[in-house]
Parts: sequence; C-alpha cells; structure tokens
Amino acid sequence: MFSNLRRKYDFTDYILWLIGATLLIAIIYGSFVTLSSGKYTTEQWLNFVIFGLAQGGIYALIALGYTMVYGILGMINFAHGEFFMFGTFGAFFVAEALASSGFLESNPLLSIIVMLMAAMIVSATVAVLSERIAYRPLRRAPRLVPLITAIGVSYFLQYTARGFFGSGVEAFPNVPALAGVVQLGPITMQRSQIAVFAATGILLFLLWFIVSKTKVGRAIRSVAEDKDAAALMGVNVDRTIALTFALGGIMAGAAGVMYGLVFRQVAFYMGFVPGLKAFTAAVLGGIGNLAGAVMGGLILGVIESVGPSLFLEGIGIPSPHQLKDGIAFTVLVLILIFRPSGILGERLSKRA
Amino acid sequence: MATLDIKNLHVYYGHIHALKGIDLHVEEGEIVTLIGSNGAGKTTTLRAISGLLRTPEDTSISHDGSELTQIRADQIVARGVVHVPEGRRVFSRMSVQENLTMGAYTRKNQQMVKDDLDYVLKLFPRLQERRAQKAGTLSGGEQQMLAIGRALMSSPKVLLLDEPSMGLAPVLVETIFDSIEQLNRTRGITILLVEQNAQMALQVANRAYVLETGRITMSGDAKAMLSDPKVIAAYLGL
Ligand SMILES: Nc1ncnc2c1ncn2[C@@H]1O[C@H](COP(=O)(O)OP(=O)(O)O)[C@@H](O)[C@H]1O
Ligand SMILES: [Mg+2]
Repeated sequence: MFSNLRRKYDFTDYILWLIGATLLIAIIYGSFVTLSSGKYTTEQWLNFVIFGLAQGGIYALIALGYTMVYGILGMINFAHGEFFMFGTFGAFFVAEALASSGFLESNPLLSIIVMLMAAMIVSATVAVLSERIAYRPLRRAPRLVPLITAIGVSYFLQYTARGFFGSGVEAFPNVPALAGVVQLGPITMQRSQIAVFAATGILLFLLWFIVSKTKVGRAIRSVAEDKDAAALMGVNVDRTIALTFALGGIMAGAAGVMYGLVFRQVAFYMGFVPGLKAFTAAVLGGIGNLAGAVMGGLILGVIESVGPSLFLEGIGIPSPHQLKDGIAFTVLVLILIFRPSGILGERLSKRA
Repeated sequence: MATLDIKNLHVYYGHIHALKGIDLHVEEGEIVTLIGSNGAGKTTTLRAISGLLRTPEDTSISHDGSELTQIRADQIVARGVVHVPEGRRVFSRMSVQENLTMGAYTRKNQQMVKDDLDYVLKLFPRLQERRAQKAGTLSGGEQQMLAIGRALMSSPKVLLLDEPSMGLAPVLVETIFDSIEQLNRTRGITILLVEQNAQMALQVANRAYVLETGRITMSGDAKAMLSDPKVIAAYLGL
C-alpha cells in the first residue's frame, strides 16, 4: 500500500536500515562485552535458554490460535489473548477445588489433566462464542471492521472477567509434585518446566496430525485456501471456521494451564501481554504458517530470556530485566519493517 | 420431470440485477449448454444452482423434485449436483491426491470412492503421474483435469461445468470435451455446460440456451443453433 510513497521518499529506507544496523551493532557489542566479562557461566546460559524455551512453548501454543484464525479468515483476532486468560481462570477454579479436596496432592497427573480439560473447554467455548456472535456477522465486511471488533471483543472479555472474578491477582494453587528441580547432567530444570515441555510437545504433535493428516484438517486447509471451492466439495464452511476457533481456543487453554503452573498467578488482564507476545511470535514465524508460529514462539521466548543478560547488560543498561517486554516489541517492529513475511510466511501487508 | 428445473431465477448483486427471471431445465442424461458473451450471467446462473448465491423467495431451483434454494452449498453437493467452477479453483497448496480426496468429502462408502479414484486416474492419466505434486504446480490443462476429476469424486448426478475450455490450447480443449462426452455417455452423468466457446459447446450438446444480459433470448436444439444465422452472427464469429 505504501510502496509508491516509499519509492518517492527513498531516504526513509536508508534511515530504517541505519536504525537496524545500529541495533545490530549494539547487540553484537553488548554480547561481546558480557561474554568477555565472564559474568555468567555456561550452565547459567543454558538455564536462560531452557527458561526461554519453556516460556516460548507457551507463546507458541497461543500463537497457533492467531495464525490459524489469520490463515482461515485473514483477520488478526486481537481477543485471542483473552481466550487464554479465560482458560487460565477455568484451570484456576478447578485447581482450587482439587487442592482443597487434597486430590491435587494425591493425584497430581490426573489433576493436571483435569485442569487441562477444564481450561481447553472454557477457552474453546469463549472462542467459538466470540466467532459466532461477533465475527461471523462481519464476514463480508471490509477488513478493518472485524479488526476493530476484535479489539472490542478483547475489552469486553477482559471486563467480563473483571466483573466475575474481581480485579485482584489470585495465586494459582501450588502443585507439590511440580515443585523442585531435576538435574540432567549440567542442566538444572524445574519440574514445572519439564511438564510444560512434555505437554507442549504432545499438543503440537496432535495439532500437526489433525491439520495435516485428517479429514477435518483437510477441511480447515481447504476453507483457508478457497471458501467457495471448499463449499463445493461439501464442506460446511461456517462449521469449519468455528472449529478452527475451537482448536485455537484449545491450544490457548492449554497455554493457560502452563502459565498458571509456571508463574502461579491469574488476573483479568493477564491475556494482554502474552497475547501481544504470541502475536509477535506468529508474525516472526510468518503469520498463517503453523510451523512458523511454533518457531517464532520458541525464538521469541529465548531472545527474551537470554537478551537482557546478553546484550542489554553489556551495553550498560542498569536494570536490563525490566526491559524484557521491550525486547519483544522491538522484535515486532523490526520484523514488520524488514521482513513483514516473517521467517516462513507470506507478507502480512498483502492481506491484512 | 426434469432432473434440474429452474424457474424464475433472479439474482441481485446489491443494486445490479444480474439475472432477470431465467427458466431452464435439464432432462436426465442430457448435455445442455448455456452460451453467451462475457458478463451475460452464465457464472451467476451456476453459482445460484450450487447454492453459492442467495436467491429471492419466488425463485425455484429443483433437483429430482426437491428444492435446492433452501439448503446450503455443501448439502447440494451431497445431493449429487456438483459444480466445477470457472477458473478451476483447485486447492493449489494441496497435492493432487488431496484435491481428489476433498472431492469425496461427503461420501461414506470407501470402496465406491476407491473405484471412482481408479476411474478418474484412468480417465486422466496425467493426474496419476502427478499425484504427489502440489496442485499449484500443474499446468492450466492439468488443473482443469483435476477440477473435473475432483468433481467426479463427489459422485455427481448432474455436473455443472463453467467454461472448462477457458485459457486452454486447442488440443487440450479437444481432450477436455472428449472426456465430457465420455462422462455423459458411459457414466450417464447429466451435464449443464457453460461456455463462451459456442462452437465446441454446441457440437457436444443436445440442447442449448442463449443468455444475454441476464435473460434467456433463445433456446432449442443445439445442432439447429449451429446453423442459425443469428447465433452464427453473434457467437460463432464467422
Ligand atoms: N460478485 C459480484 N458483484 C457484483 N457484480 C457481479 C459479481 N459477479 C458478477 N457480477 C456482475 O453480474 C453480471 C454477470 O456476471 P457473470 O455471471 O460472471 O457473467 P458470465 O459468467 O456470463 O461472464 C456481470 O455484469 C457482472 O459484472
Ligand atoms: Mg463466467
């Protein structure tokens, strides 16, 4: 859309590249200073990476919902972070009940599965209702309309949650079985991180299998590519779109449980920042591309976890870990400027 | 009773009155062609039949006596009214095999699906060679074969074909029209063929309708139309 403008004012390109190059030099310089100061050991770096991967796995699960909905409707569903938040609340209430009955302590694995089920059902239900009520009537409207509606849905869901669950931060029940660490050679891993890796791996495999190998997955891909042609094959397009929202919700709900287990808190606003981060991850990997969402989530998680110590500390920023969120959004702006198509995907500007 | 019976078909695109009351019927086993110049409303007619467009209350489209205007496009396919859209519209990111599998989406009997797959691959051996390839990498002619093959996988009783010759080299047009005739003769599939290539269409069809800016202006025996001076002047470009 801005290509004509760009061509006319060619020097903006130079300025952008200058900013990019400056950041790159700062990152390299900062990393060099930190690494040569020897402040962190190899084990510490490994632990940063592992923490980043666990965090990134959560981003990846949320990012899949953004990317699937974009793939099928060409729309950015900014309410997706709220689906995640509702799922976390679903898991929270179930976890509280399980904890107070003592079941959580005596039967941790089954408890986590029940929490996952609850979160997935809640998130998927909120996702499907949002699609049915807010987005479906706007299917033929200009692109900006559903985008603005999504922001409205996001606020509606946040304040609904605030109304029902209060505005405070609640502590997610402790799962004793997940407390403590496991030593794997030189690597120290939190048990909760191991649980996140295992659950994320299983879910990603299941989603990949559904989308690429089953009839339902073919229906989703056909609707994503050409809705009329899919209908002419006998695919119920509305139902398939609802199903895509449900699958995205299921992944977001699972992410909510992981988040609760790792960060041990729930609040009505908690969907906002992880939602934006996951959106960044989806754009980083190439929006519309499932593998890209996973890759983008993991990369973003690691950059966020390693970055503050690696390059922010090196260039002398006093409290680098406060800037963690800033890194993600710098990454988002940089991709949108330099590689809007992300690592694996199509150009965002073409369709959105 | 006609297998496909269209009465008083109107279609509006906003304020544009694209079809202004069309009556058309296709008998079982017939090849009927609908010819007309660009923008006449041919594609719109097929899209209305297959349920991709909404029609007003007083329009009736019935297949073997049951009304199609009240049901969704995906339910119409399951009734055996199958539409090969203009421009092929194959799923370019899926393999040839997956496209064919999509054609059989509504079907339950896997043995019959397998038999139909064998038939399609024999009818279009090129598809057999390219089964694992992404449909987007096929040539225009191969994509048209895939689009028809995919429709055959839906087990059609009535096949709606929208400009199958569009953009194809003459030798490929021959191949495609031969297979259309073969489907009609050996499988008994009823065909409603939309074409701008009136010459070819009138040669294979039993009957023909001429559509001009949303109205049927002529109808009758296809072979007779080939020698009708008005048709020759307007559509055969001689
Ligand atoms: N989606 C649409 N929106 C508005 N007008 C349309 C649309 N599709 C077709 N038309 C108009 O309807 C008329 C018939 O079009 P069409 O059925 O595509 O003709 P044909 O297939 O005979 O070339 C044309 O005037 C065309 O401009
Ligand atoms: Mg047309």
